[in-house]
Amino acid sequence: MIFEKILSLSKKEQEVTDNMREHIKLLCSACDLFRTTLENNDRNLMRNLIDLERESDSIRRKIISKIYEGAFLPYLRPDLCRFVEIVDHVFDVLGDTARYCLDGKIPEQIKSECIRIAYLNIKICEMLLITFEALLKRDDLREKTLAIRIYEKKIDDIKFSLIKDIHKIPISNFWEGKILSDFISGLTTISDIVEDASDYLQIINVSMK
Amino acid sequence: MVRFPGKGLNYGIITARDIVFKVLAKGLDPKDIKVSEIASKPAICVDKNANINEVASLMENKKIARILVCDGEEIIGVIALLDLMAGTLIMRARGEHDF
Repeated sequence: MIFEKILSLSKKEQEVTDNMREHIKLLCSACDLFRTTLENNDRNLMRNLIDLERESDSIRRKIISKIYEGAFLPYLRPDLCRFVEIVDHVFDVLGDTARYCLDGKIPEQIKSECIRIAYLNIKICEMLLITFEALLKRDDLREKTLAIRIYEKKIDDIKFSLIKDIHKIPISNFWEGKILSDFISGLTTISDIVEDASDYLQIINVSMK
Repeated sequence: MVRFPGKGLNYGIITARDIVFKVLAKGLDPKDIKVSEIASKPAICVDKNANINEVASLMENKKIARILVCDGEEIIGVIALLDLMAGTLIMRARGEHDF
């Protein structure tokens, strides 16, 4: 089967898939760290997230270099690279959201809902890892991508109630409001990007059948 | 949610079904009906640490589609049939549930 040939080939492909797995695991750890720092108001720990963003960049470069050195068939390379770039984009958004957190203070009225979203972000990233592993095992991805869409919908629902809640919070100046708005936007965008990444896994899956 | 007099978790629930079947379908005027007359009571509660199977059994046995989630005496949320379905699908996708 072509799929088998593509995904269980040489050392190069194995290295790429190992790095991709490492990249997604790092994303799960970054989301977990973000939730912990948000819960504990630990600003020093929040700075570690920015280091993880750099580490993700390094893994992304490594994967893309290996792919263009000859891992996988040429028609698959753009989709694999795109998937890796989408995962890296999640790190960028997470890093930016951590910066907003360092610049401002999260109002107590919305803190528990923000922590809830941060928790769901960990879950959606774990599900992305499960979906990636299923792709490597040639399992059906439909149930996994559906679970990702369910998580995304839950976060969307919380986002709408959060937006209603922030209207009631007094804002003293433009920058305070902008930082808070950007923070909520970043926090709730992560799941959208993870959903895009899972769609790409499905595209890769279908294109190899 | 309808709160009845008395101590503790003395609540009932009104859903669209109650309004349709207990008021509109009987040709009653909604203005003449008090919420306490049509609320389904008592509202069933589960502990916040209850698992999906316990909630599913309760819904099946009591023939209800919504259950309150409580932390001690405090109501912290509501779980609906659709939430249960979403949770079950997630468990299947994670390989945590055998069907």
